[in-house]
Formats: sequence, C-alpha cells, structure tokens
Amino acid sequence: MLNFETTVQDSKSYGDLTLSEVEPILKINLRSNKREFSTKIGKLLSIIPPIEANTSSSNEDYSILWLSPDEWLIYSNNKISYEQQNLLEENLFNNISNTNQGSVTNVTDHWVMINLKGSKIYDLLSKSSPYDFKNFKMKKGSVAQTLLNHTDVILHNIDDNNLNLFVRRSFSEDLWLWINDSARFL
Amino acid sequence: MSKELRINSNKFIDQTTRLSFKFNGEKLYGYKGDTLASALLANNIHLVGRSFKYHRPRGIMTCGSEEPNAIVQIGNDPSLTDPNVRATEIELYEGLEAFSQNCWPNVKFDIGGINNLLSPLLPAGFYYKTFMWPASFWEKYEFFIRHSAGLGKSPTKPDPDIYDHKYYHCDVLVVGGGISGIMAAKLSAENNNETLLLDDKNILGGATIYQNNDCFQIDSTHTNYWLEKEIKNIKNIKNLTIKTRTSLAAYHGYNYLLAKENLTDHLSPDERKGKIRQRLWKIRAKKVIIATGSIERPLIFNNNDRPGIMLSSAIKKFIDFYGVKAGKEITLFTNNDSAYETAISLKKSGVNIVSIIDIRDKSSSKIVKEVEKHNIKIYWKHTIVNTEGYRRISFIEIMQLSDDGSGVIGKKIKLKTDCLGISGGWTPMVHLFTQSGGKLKFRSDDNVFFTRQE
Amino acid sequence: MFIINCPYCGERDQTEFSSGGEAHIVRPKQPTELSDDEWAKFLFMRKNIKGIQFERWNHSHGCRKWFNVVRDTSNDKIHAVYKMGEKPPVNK
Ligand SMILES: [Zn+2]
Repeated sequence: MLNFETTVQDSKSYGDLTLSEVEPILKINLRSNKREFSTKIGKLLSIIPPIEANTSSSNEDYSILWLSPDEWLIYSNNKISYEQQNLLEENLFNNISNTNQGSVTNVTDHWVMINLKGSKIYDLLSKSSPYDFKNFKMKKGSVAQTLLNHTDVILHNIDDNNLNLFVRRSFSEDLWLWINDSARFL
Repeated sequence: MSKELRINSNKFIDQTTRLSFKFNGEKLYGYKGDTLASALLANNIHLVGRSFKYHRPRGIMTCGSEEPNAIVQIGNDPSLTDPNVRATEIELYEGLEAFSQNCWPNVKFDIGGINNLLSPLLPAGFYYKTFMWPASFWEKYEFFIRHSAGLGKSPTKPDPDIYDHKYYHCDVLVVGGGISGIMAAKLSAENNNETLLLDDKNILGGATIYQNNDCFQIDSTHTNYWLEKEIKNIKNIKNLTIKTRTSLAAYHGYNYLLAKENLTDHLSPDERKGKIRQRLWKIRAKKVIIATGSIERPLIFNNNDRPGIMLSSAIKKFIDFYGVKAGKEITLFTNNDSAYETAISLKKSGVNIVSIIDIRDKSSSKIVKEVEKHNIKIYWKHTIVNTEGYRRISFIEIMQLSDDGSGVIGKKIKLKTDCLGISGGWTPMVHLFTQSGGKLKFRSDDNVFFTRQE
Repeated sequence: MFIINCPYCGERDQTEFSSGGEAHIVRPKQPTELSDDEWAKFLFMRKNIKGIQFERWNHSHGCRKWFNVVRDTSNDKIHAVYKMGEKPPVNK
C-alpha cells in the first residue's frame, strides 16, 4: 500500500468480515467558505456538499463527505481511470480555484480507501476507537472522523454493514496489519 | 481430597468432574466449580502463606476479592507465572499449580518466623528505618530484604498471551450482579436503556444465589430460587448485555470506567491455546449504578490472625456454594445476627458447631430463635480473649463481659475448635463511589460509612 | 478522559482533541517596543488556575477546528464551549 504501484489488490475474510482495498478511486479535497461554492459544485457534479455535520451526499458517481464547516472530501463510487480523474480535477480546478471560489486538491494518492463489509465491522472498530458508533451505525451516509488504533481515519457508512475507511497512505500499511491482526479474534 | 469435608449435593460444583492440582508441590484434587481456596479447604489446608513482616502463619480468611491472606503464585513457567493471585478468586482448572508466597524455605517452616519471636525488637517501620543507613549499604541489605519480604515473583520472560481491548458505550452500567444489581439492570433495560451488567464471579447472583435460609423469602419462596428465575428471565432482555468474570478496576471522570474481563484464566493450559486471555473494557456510561454489596468486618481480639479464623460469611459461602466444610468443630464469634445464618447453614449440612459467642446481651430476632431450636450453645455477653494454635487454630479462651462492656469478668472458659467464624457487622463496598468523587457519611444505627448525596 | 462537545462535530472523546492552553491572550500590537520581560510575559506566563479556566482546544483528530472551552480544572467539568471569535459566555 505504501507503494503506489502495489496496492493490496486482495480481499481478506474473517468470518463475517471482509476487507479489501479499493483502487483506483478519485479523491478530491475541497475547501471553501464562499456562498456560490455550493451551487457551483452542484452544477459541475450534480451533487450538493452537505452542510450538516457528520453527513454525506451521494449520487450514482460521487460521494461528498462533510469534514468540517468549510471542508469536504469527494470520492468516486466506482473505480475510475487516471485519465478521467485528471479531467475531472482540471474541470473543478478551473471552475473553483481559478475563480477564487475555494481550493481543489487532488488527494487520490494521499488517502487509501479500505472497504469493510459484514456484521462484525463495529466489533472490530470498537477494539480501538473511542467513537460511539450508535448513531453512525443506524444512519446511512454518516461520516465520522476519529481515531482507529491511534491513527486518523475517515469512516463513511455507505450501507448497513458496509463502510469505507480512509486512512493516510503512510499509515495505511500499519492500520491494514492491525485490522487483519485484530479481525482474527472476532 | 478429604471426603468428610465435602457435602454431597451441590448445584454449583460439578462433583462428576474431578480436577487435579498442585499446591506447594503436593498433588491434590478438587472439583469443577471450585476456587483454589475452596479446593484447599476441602483438602483440610488452611495454612497458605506468611505475613509480610513477622512471617506469622496465614490462612484463608474470606471467599472473594477482599481476601487479604491467601495470596499465591500461580505456575512457575518463566513467562506465564502470575504473582499475587487471590486463592479465593482463581477458579480451579486441571493442572493448576500454586505456591505460597512470603515464606522461605517453605510455608510450614519459615526462617523469617523468627521475626515473630523478636517482634518486641522490630518496631513499626523497622525495615524502612534500619536499612536506610548508611546509604551505601543499601545494595547489600537489598538482597536479603527482597528475599525475606518479597511479594511474589515476576515473570522473567516475555508474556506470550494475547490481550484485547474494547470501547463500550451504554446508557446504564450496573456494577455487581447480586440481587440489587440484577433488579437494577432489569428495570433499566426494560425501560429502553442500553444496559451493561458486570460481575467478577463466574455466575450471577451474589450472596443471594446460595441463600436458602427460611428467614429469607420473596413471594413465599427461598430467595435463591426466586433469584434463579429472575436471572433466567433477564438473559432474554434484548437491551441487556451481561458480562461475568469481569471486574471493574477504575472509575474515572465523565463516567469513564475500566474493567478487566477474564476469558481463559479459568481454563486449563491446553484449552487456552490461541485464545485471548483478558480483555480491557473501556466503558463510557451515561449513568452508573454501583451495586457492589458489602463485606463482613472482622472482630478484634488477641491472636485473631491464626489460620482457621475466617469471616463467618465466608464459612457460609464455602458450605452453601462450594459444599466445603471449613472445619469439623466450628465456633462462631459475633456482634450481630449474620453469624446465625452461618450456624443454620452449617447445621443443615451436618457440621458440628461448638458454640456461638455473642458480645450482645441477648437477641430475640427470628433467626436467633431458629438457632436456639437446634440446641446450639450460645454464650451471650461473652468475648474471646485469646486463641491458641500455631499453624491452625486449636483452642479459644472466652470470658464474660462486664456490665458496661469495658472489661471482662469471671473465669476463663477454654473451648476446643478447629475453625472460628467471626462477624463484626457489614461494611458497604463504597470504593467505586468514592473513586468517582462521592463523599461518605457515618451512619450510626449500623456503624457504617455510607454514601452521601450532595 | 473527559468528553468535549465540539461546536462543529458534537460530543467526542478527549483523545480526539489537543489542548492549546489558555485562551484570550492578546498579542501585543508592537512587539518591537516591548522589553524582554514584557515579551516573555506574553509568550510564557500563564495563569494556570485551579478552578474555572478559559482554554483553547483543537479537534485535531476530527474537524481540525479551534474553539474555546470553559473548564473547571479542579474537577474537569466543562461549563461552556464556544467558537473562536465568539464572546465568552460568562463574564471573565
Ligand atoms: Zn470537531
């Protein structure tokens, strides 16, 4: 995972828990506190950045996660080629950054996305995250930024017993090993 | 195993599964469900250790986490040995190996015991004061002090076991699975609160689960049967999580509590392989209910520390729960009615009670009358003035109290006994409450410190 | 371990936050005109109150926003949380 070229590419199963790294996925960080920003993004991606804390909005192609009152993370729901990624980034850059509406940063290689599926997800996470998953679990689309095994993670509840976990690339191998180690005892 | 110290029927002990274990190298037997303490008592072993300073013989005194004496070393594998384990808490498993601590060369003959004879020369603080000077000599003293005063041995090799963590969030945490804890958890969970119930023992029910005394009834049934039914019912409540073998260790601010769950410490080494040994629970609760019950207080008299002198409630638990007679000729010394429960339990199981010594002038409570029916000699207004027996109590000396209770009068009476149960009333376990910042106040009607509402 | 109610994300465990020390310390307008002692006073000297204290906290493992907290240092009770730039809820 540390090496861009060699993603895990493989899926591990522990009872009713499956983990897999998903690549390549477009990830873009957006920052803005301008008023027209929302409508601009709406026009470009036909999706509105959520204002409510700890939520997300999704359409068929993209999800936008709330990170902070002026910060969002866009990622593509499906694997997407690098050429397409570049096109989209350029489009956003021209319409947002270049018009002073906010900043657009391609963080595709900054975050690693791991998908977790199964009924044991929250048993695994509660082994080392102080976060209370009670509401998160129940509400589809919930977003949580918290710590997992002392590592910063962003969690996105995409469906019942199905979530995407984002971890910084340099921490990803450590966290991947921790998840695999802990999942043995679920 | 001494057959005469076991009673035959008992639902908490599986007498069909015999387990072998070793204590100080001697091979002994117990049953599944025993603790090390109950198995030792069934083998007629009271002497388990030595005191820290004077190396006086020490016996099993209680039957729970409050045990001050029966502290043993488990195993001698350099990476797995476990010091300072209470014999009253460790569950017996096949192949358990335990050793006395604080004694050299062995528990029956301890050279440090000479300190006992020299005790007038060893004032309080002797170790700390004497070996301070000259400072450079400390290195020389240290070897001998550590040797004579050591509290168990640490493992010398890395720990191969696996430990787990768990963060847990709940609406209500109930600490203690006795009758009040069970009822509190039931009420809480039935009112739509996510509830966690913890108990350090292997089964729920506290002291009520083995309370079969006629004087203790709910809905016209003995409390143990009544509670058994309740326990069956609460296991089906969906909001309620129950964890046994889990002891609460810390109560921090904002209702952040730490608990240790034992997962394999009660299993034999073969059954433990590849499993998590212990789990640390990091609990965040909206409300905490402390239902930790009370512990019995000892009574103060000369030589009240001999092996064979135990809390009267412990004798009751050993007979009613573990089916073990703590002695063959038991005497009880009390200042309240609790010891009479023990007397009835012992009588029911056919143990000979030498007598009951009661500091009070008289009691006419229902339970005392019950005991009087059994023709047990009760010495009202008497007190114990001394005891005899080095490795095990053998005699007690009692005298009558003067009218104002300030002194003793009359002739000494000497009674032969091999086990003495003492009961000085009950002290609520307020430790967790005070740890959370709670304040106490003295309640004079039963002489206890109790919780004070701000 | 206390729980802090982040004004942006809601209640979270203390481990997700970093403390930024005493709040409402005004930077001198003309640092060059200060003596070394005055400058040191601004830089290093803090009240370190036993009791109600105004503090800055950062939700470093969450939204990464700074905000202010009114905390009783003797029992960790948090009396108020307010955003940067907002007026303290109680008179100082
Ligand atoms: Zn936040």
